[in-house]
Amino acid sequence: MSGYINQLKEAILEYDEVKANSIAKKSIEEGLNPLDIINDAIRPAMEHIGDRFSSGDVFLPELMLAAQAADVIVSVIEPEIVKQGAKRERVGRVLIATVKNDIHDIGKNIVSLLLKSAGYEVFDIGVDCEGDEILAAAKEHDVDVIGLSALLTTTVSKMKDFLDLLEEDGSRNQFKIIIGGAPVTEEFCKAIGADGYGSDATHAVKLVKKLIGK
Amino acid sequence: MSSYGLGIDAGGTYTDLAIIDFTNDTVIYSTKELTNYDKPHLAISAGLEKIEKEVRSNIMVSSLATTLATNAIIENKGGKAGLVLIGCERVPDEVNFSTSVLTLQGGHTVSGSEKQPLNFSKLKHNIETFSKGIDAIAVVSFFSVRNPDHELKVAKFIEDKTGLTVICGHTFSMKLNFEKRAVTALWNARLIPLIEKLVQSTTKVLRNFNIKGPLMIVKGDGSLMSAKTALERPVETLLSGPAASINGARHISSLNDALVVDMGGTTTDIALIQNSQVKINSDGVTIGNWKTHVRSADIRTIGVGGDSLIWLDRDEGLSVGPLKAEPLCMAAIKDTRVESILQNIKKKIDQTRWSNLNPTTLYLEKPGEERKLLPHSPYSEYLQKLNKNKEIGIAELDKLVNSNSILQCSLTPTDILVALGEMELGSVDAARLGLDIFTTYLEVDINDLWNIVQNVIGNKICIAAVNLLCEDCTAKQAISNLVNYLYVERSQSFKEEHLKAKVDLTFPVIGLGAPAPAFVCQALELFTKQCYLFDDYDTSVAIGAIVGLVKKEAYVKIRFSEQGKYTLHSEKGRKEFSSQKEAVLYGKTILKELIATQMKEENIYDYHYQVDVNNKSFSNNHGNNIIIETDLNAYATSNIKPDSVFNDNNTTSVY
Repeated sequence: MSGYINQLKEAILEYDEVKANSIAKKSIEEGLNPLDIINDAIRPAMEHIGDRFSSGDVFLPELMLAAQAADVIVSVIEPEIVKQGAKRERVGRVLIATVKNDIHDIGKNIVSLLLKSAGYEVFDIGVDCEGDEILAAAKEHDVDVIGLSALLTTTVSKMKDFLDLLEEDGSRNQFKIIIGGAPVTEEFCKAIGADGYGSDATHAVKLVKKLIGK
Repeated sequence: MSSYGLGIDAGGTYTDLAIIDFTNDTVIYSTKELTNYDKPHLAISAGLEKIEKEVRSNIMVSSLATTLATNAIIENKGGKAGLVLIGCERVPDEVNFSTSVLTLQGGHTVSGSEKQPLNFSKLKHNIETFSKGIDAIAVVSFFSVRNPDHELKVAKFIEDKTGLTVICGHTFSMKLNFEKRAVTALWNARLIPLIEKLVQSTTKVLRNFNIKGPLMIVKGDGSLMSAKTALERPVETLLSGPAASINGARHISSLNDALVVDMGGTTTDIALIQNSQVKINSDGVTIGNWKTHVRSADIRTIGVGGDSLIWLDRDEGLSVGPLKAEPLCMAAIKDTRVESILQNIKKKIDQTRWSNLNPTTLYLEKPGEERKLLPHSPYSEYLQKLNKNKEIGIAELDKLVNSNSILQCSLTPTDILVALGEMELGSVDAARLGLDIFTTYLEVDINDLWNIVQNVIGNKICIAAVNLLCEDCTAKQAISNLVNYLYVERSQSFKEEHLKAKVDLTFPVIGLGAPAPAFVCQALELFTKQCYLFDDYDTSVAIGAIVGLVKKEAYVKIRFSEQGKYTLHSEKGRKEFSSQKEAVLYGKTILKELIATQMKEENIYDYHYQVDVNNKSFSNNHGNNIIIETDLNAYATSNIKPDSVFNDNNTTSVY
């Protein structure tokens, strides 16, 4: 059985969606536990490629290809998880959005994909999102972390506005707030009182892991 | 001619008065009278009676610290209030049937623009039924601190229509959190009838004694406000008593920096004085489950005091508090049979009589009525009647104690002090008997028991002190663990061959309250040798009431909007500017006016004024400094000594 796990890891690290798809299907047919696939194949492989990205050994396109391969595996095994009624251990739920008046979605999508491949449940509610909309969705999906993205210097102020909304609403302590995007810095994160700043997509995943503790 | 100030502590079991001589700031007189809870003014009268007429006639200002607001919230008592919630339909959990609630569509967004139009027709349609039988109404709207427009409109309409007092949420704090704003305004409305009664009765007493000058009330941050302001903002008297006690400690000790440990019967309050100022709790006061925006001294209250129950915790060993019990020495005064019952227990420790694992426990009838000792066995007719004829076991007894149906009497730290001759209170014999029974049962000698009790109390005080001093420090848990370790080891430092760790308090400690001499300095001796107890510790609240300052605050926020504009938010509304500099300049003008108006209401025209400007900013990727928002905080203080501040010293009445 462990052969499949290794092959799935290879598929991700070789950015091979076709292989990922066929091995995933085979392993499910052979009765491999889909949760083991997430925990023993996808997460370690994505962590590995994430580290290589951080150290500059691979670049963003490779990272994206690996994440897409991981996503293919997830889409194959997800119906099996539902079918088996296997309770997927709640690793963490993350809501991702680009703030109001900002329609940039590339960064947000990369973070979204990497978080999914790291085993998190991700609710990506898109771009140009009002604070009210983000808060309502976060409550509806009962998320642990809210990730906000902005690419414009004019729209970063919406992140502070969102934190103010949480304060006024009395729900600041219910969520961890992480932020990212070209104009965002660690200093900005501290100034507005967010819980963390992700300098790139793999960093964002590490941040979520640290904040949730899983 | 000397001029005097009168401080009154009308909070607890005793009503204390203190007279301060303004010419040299010394306390020249203090009295202590037992409080009559139904007629609290009687104790003030009795105290004033004892003060020379000559002194009384030269009192220029009086000031009152009161636990009225705190107690009302704890007991959920107060007037009947109406609560109008605009733009948020979530009613705070704790709001109960004594409040009539009306929710309206409306409210604002984070930037102060209208979120939804105000549903005025619903208000018009419901106002009559809503305001029926109501004492006062609180109006709170979503993001009203960014734009108070809806609150103001609704308040004006209700005032015009009903003539009731209406309180707007945004006037208490410019901080965010809708629910806290609602709770603050609601409690303010509910407290108005109570504070009116208190101010009226106190003013009457002062008038009867021909005492001139204004009456001030202590706020939760230790500053003072006139009785007239207190009638409008009674919620700000929350924690008035403990805050006054810290003022008193500062005055008595003349220390600019100190940790104040005020130990009472049921609880111990711990607070911090830094640069002569009381450390403020920026989160607002929380009483029970009620979270408010009320500014107060940062006071950590722990459930240990002289009358705490000493009991045997099966896991932790000997424990003290947080439950309290009537000390045996006092119970014996109330009922002469207490001593003989204790004699009987001493002969044979009867396990069935135990409650809370303290073998000295016995019960008295309902507090408030004439207290009688309940018959020897907990299975008595009286108890069974209370428990609807069911047999009574330990669990039921505890329930009756918790519901205040019966009074539990047990060995307490106070009894040990009395038995050891460290304190004079009630019956020494009863205290000694209790101590005997307890030590016999535990098979320890008296000194051991005393050391354990002191240690348990000391440890709790120290942990609370660490939490206060080290609130945001990352090493808080590590320091707490170390303090715990050092306590258990009774050692000043942890030592390994090449490693040493110790905890030093760099402040002196001030111990206040009757049990303080026995516990406070001893509790902290591992961490500091600078510990002071003062003769006046009993009356520190009354002294603190009269040495406080009048303090006013106002606040303005300037936000950068994405259109490149700067929006200023204040309690007067919002205004847009094209540059930050312009907005700050305007903000400073507004603050000066707001403070002047507040001080004028107190009849004060000469005060110390200061504005702090705080920018939240960051450097963007091009190295430009970008200001996200600017907060302007204005503070003004004035002392209450006559001549310098009050124009008219002859107004006693606030009406």
